[in-house]
Amino acid sequence: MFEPVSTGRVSGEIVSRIKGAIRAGELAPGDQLPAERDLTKQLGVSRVSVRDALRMLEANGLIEVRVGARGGAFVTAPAPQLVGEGFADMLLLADVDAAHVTEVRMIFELGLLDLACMRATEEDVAALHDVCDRADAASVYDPALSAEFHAQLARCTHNDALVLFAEAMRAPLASSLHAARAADPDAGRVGSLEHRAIAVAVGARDAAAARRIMAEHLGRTASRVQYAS
Amino acid sequence: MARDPGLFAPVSVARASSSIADQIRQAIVTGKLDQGERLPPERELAEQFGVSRVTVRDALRALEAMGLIEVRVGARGGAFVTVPTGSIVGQTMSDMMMMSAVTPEDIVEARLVVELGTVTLACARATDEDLAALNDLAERSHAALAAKTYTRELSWDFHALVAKAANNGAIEGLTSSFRSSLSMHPIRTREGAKAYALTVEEHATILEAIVARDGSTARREMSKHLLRGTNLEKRESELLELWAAQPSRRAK
Repeated sequence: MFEPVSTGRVSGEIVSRIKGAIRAGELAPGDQLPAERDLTKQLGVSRVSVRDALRMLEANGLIEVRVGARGGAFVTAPAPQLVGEGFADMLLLADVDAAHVTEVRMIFELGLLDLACMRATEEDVAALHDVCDRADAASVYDPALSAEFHAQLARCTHNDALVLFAEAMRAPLASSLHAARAADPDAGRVGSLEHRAIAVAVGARDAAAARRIMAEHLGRTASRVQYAS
Repeated sequence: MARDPGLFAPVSVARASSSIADQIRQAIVTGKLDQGERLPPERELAEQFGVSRVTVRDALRALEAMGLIEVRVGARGGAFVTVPTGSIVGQTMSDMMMMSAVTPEDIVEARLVVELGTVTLACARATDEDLAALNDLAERSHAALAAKTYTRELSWDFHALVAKAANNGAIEGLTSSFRSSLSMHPIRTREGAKAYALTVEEHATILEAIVARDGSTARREMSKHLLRGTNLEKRESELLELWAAQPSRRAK
């Protein structure tokens, strides 16, 4: 009856201790945590608390539990997708409408694009065209390739925070794209043509042209999800 | 209760629990379970899923960590469905940034991209209520500065209120997620004691521009504020010139 209270607190404490050790650099990605039994002894807590703490760390993407002879709990960096899922759940459950998500996308992607035009290397531009080539070769529109194009665009900025952020935004953006596609099934094809035009503009360092095409590209999405302004 | 799961147990237990967590998460995001609704007791869930209570417990801990449920204790206790808050998402983002060793300079640049757009929207959409809240914060900030009790939290509150004034739930949510992960702390620390006074002064200038609904001034002041002490002025000058030339570029 009373157990959940204290284990809740104790497991939270264990989580913050382990996070603290990671923050202090005592534990780095790839390091293995001591076995459950040893953690129980070291921390002077029950096995249930240790177990709860490990499940919470796992859900937060900070450890990965591998099984087998060389198994155990290993420290990992949370994947951007995990953050994205969190964003997506939050936006969905807070009833944020798709038009507002598109608006964020406008701000973020147009800003990003300017940096991309300034900093993209030849390799970056080639990678953009490569995604477009694969989209052209595919017989049906593949939303995954569209997401890849936008992720590659973020990499052109050579800013790690923006790259991570773009990755994290993928899931919430996908939900707004989904709403858009339901309203206009042909959108994907037009979108692919626009991706190519953006790749060309980035290659030519033509920020104004890139921005114009991107605004149109995102604007169509916005209008299809009944953007009210 | 918590019997030792033994040598082989963790394998299947871990997998079963994530599948259970995923099923419950789906029920929540698709609206089959409403916010505030209480999940069936652990015992019942264990029966429904055909697993042990330990496994159900694992799944509940994972959902709790994701901010999808809240466990309350007491007579009317249980696991209740909640909306994940920006701070929970932000925590994961913060962990991610920390472990990927993103530089403070990259973080400043990311904030430029997001916050210049945000402040533009705030100029266009701030309600009287938004402005009153910002004014109130300005007063409290000045008082705190005089009393030497100013903290970073007050600075974050300013950026959060600007995001709120953009009247876009997605921007507000994202900004609250940045709260810890996109902290300028490492840069401001280099500046020492005078940093807070400068912060409060700059916030006041930005607020003035928002009150005047002057987007281009607000953007210019916000970029000055974010770039202060970063040695990034030169690196960003081309970008800022480009943005200044496109005052109506951003979504309205």
